[in-house]
Amino acid sequence: MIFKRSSLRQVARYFPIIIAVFASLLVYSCDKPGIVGSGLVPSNGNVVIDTIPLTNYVTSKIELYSGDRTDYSAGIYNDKLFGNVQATGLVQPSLVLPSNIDTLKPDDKIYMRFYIDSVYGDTNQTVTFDLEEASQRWRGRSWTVDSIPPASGNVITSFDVGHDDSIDVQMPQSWVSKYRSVLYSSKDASVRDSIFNIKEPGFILVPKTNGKIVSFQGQNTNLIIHDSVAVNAKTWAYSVKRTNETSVGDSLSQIYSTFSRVPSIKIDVKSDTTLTINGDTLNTKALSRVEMALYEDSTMMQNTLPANNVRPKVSNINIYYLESDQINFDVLKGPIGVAARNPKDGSFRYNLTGQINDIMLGHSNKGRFYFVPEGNSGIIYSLLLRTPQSVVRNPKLIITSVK
Amino acid sequence: MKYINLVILFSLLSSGLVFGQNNNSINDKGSLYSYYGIGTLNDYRDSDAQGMGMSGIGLNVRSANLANPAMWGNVFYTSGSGGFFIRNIESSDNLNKNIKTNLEPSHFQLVIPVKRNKVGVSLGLFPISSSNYSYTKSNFISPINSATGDTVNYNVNNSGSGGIDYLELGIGWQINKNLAVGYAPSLVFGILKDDITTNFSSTAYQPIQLNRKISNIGFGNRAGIYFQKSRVFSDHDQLSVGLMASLPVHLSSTLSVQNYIASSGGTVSNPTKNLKNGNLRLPLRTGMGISYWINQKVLVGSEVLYQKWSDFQNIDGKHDSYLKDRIRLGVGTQFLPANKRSNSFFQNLAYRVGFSYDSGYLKLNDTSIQSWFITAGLGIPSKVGSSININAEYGFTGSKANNLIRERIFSLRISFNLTELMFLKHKIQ
Repeated sequence: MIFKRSSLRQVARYFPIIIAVFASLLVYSCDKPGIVGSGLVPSNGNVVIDTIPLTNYVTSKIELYSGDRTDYSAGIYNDKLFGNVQATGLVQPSLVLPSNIDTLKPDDKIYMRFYIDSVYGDTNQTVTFDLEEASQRWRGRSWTVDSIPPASGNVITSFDVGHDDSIDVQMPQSWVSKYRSVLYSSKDASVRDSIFNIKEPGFILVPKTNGKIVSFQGQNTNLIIHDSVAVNAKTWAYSVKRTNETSVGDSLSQIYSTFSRVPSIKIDVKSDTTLTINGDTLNTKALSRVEMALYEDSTMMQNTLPANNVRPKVSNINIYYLESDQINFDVLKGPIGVAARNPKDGSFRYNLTGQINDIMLGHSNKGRFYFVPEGNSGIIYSLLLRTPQSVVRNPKLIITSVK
Repeated sequence: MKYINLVILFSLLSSGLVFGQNNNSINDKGSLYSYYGIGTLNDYRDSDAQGMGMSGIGLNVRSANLANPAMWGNVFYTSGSGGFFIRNIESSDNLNKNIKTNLEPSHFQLVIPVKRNKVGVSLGLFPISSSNYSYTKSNFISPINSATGDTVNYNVNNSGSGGIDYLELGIGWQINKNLAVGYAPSLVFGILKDDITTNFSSTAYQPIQLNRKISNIGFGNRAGIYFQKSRVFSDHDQLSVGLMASLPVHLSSTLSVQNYIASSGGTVSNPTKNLKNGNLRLPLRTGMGISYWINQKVLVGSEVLYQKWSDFQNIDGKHDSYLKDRIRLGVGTQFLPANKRSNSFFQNLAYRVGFSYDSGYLKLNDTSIQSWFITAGLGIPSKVGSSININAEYGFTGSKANNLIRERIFSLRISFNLTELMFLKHKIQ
């Protein structure tokens, strides 16, 4: 097989000319983009917003561990919407002598200082608490919100809470003597601690008057020795008893940070050639954003709150994703995210895109999404949430997709 | 060493064709009209006929001729043909204008004489359509619907690529000095892709990449007949008539969609799912050409092509309402200054001009997307029949009326025709 070289050479002579013409064309015709013919072609890849109502809504009670959180609450408040709430606080001081103090003398003064984080109720009300010794040892980490405080009936002092940010409660000298005797009971710290846990298992903050619930900072509930030296609390907790909740019907649900009523929903996702959520076929799997929208009945909440009365403001709803065998255990791990309050419409929005995409990719979808206002901080939050039975602003998924 | 030229040539053509299978362009942008149907139609044209505004169904030329299978019997040399073209498109509507440039392969063909000037076989690979567009549209999500409570703007870019290609193996038979017939079965295949990318002005929304493609495969049949007669009106004239018919092709088609999504494992591809299977039906294509050598220097010809696009079926088995039957008319002439080889380079060239009208196969917004082109070409021959053809084409497609666009198109096509006594020489040796 031979191509005659002479003929090829002859043809090849003109290649430079051809290349030059092509190069000129390419240089001349560098793309000059512009929007031309927008009316000619359709808008493929339309961004579509679908709304799918959330169904499969149930409420349940989850055991809440209420000890050693950021705060602990105590007080009584009769909320017209959320019922009569009685919170009892527990706190145990530490048995430590600060390093800069040589000795604790019998006539030294000890104060217990409480820092107040939040008030739920009548802000103008002054309420009284008894500081009652606990009758037996208790552990903050295993304390649940419906545990009954071990009252002894031995009230060692009482104090009032008005508008103050912090309160110093002077401990009686009899208690100072008791504290001192344990402090010097042994050279071995572990022995001293054991004695202290038996002799002084802490205090119960028993509310004596109705008006407001106060949330105290746990870590900063201090013993003040020699006027300025602080000894942090060892452990703290609180219990809540709620009665006489107002009936709000099926379209609304009272929910609390105490986990005593936790709503949850199950999102049914089927992914095959297309995506079906709760029975609604989307005709696409290209999801840009899947957002869960939850709504409160802010009007009713506001109308049931007398003047000068406040409820801790709920800015977020914590979202937990739990399978049935995880409910009472994994809730300790914390939420998978928060539904933040949308400042424009007051709704609570949670971005579920990652979870739905994961399910599309084959991840398990056995769990349910649980909603708790603000989570378990020790402050008592309450929210009136609209349920799927609500005619307006019912909970829903807002799905932005490309079709 | 003697194979080097051939290897280089085949490498060039092969790479061009592979490139064409993937994308068909260097910048992923071409005619916006290629969004519709199966894209911009590429008529398989003989490289000599291109310069005359025709495909070459009835044109008696010595090079490999894709246009009519009947021509493949009357070959003496093994001949190969391939080429590419650069196309400059200036698109404009009533408000704006833009310019795009494409470099695309045109075809590859090898014609081998089984019995010289009697029976020949042809192997060809050529696109019959190419989809090559890119456009972006902007829109917004209103504050009441957006996750942020503010207006969220977004851009949707649609980018189309791919096309339908023919891999054809055929035979031509020169029955006698006046009559020839040919037949070519083919594998018809190709992917039509539409890549959609959506980007949002807010990070609250994940960008979306959605790739849709329709994969097609099927078998085609093409037949041709060619008649020529010398000394019709004078001692030095010759009249040729060619007919070609490409039967409807049923393609087995699959629509699949793939999207890329953000998950806890990062951005991953969602497995491709075949959304739909169907049969895409390409319509009957027929053509007739007449050419006449007035003398040994001057050739005139005309041609008509017809495609019954009203019979087209999309993957849903339905007819697209914007498709209509297509007619393409071409007329042109060729002038050879010297009927024998001359020492003057310019005397040895073939000069061609032509004109073509194409009714198009699209009717959008009640307007047919028609085309007019003037063509001119040069044939640069060698002593043994090899040649380079350079053809230029200038014309218009579409209209600015009714929210459409007009495209001013300038194309420069380069085709290589190489001939040699290939297998026969092997036998002799």
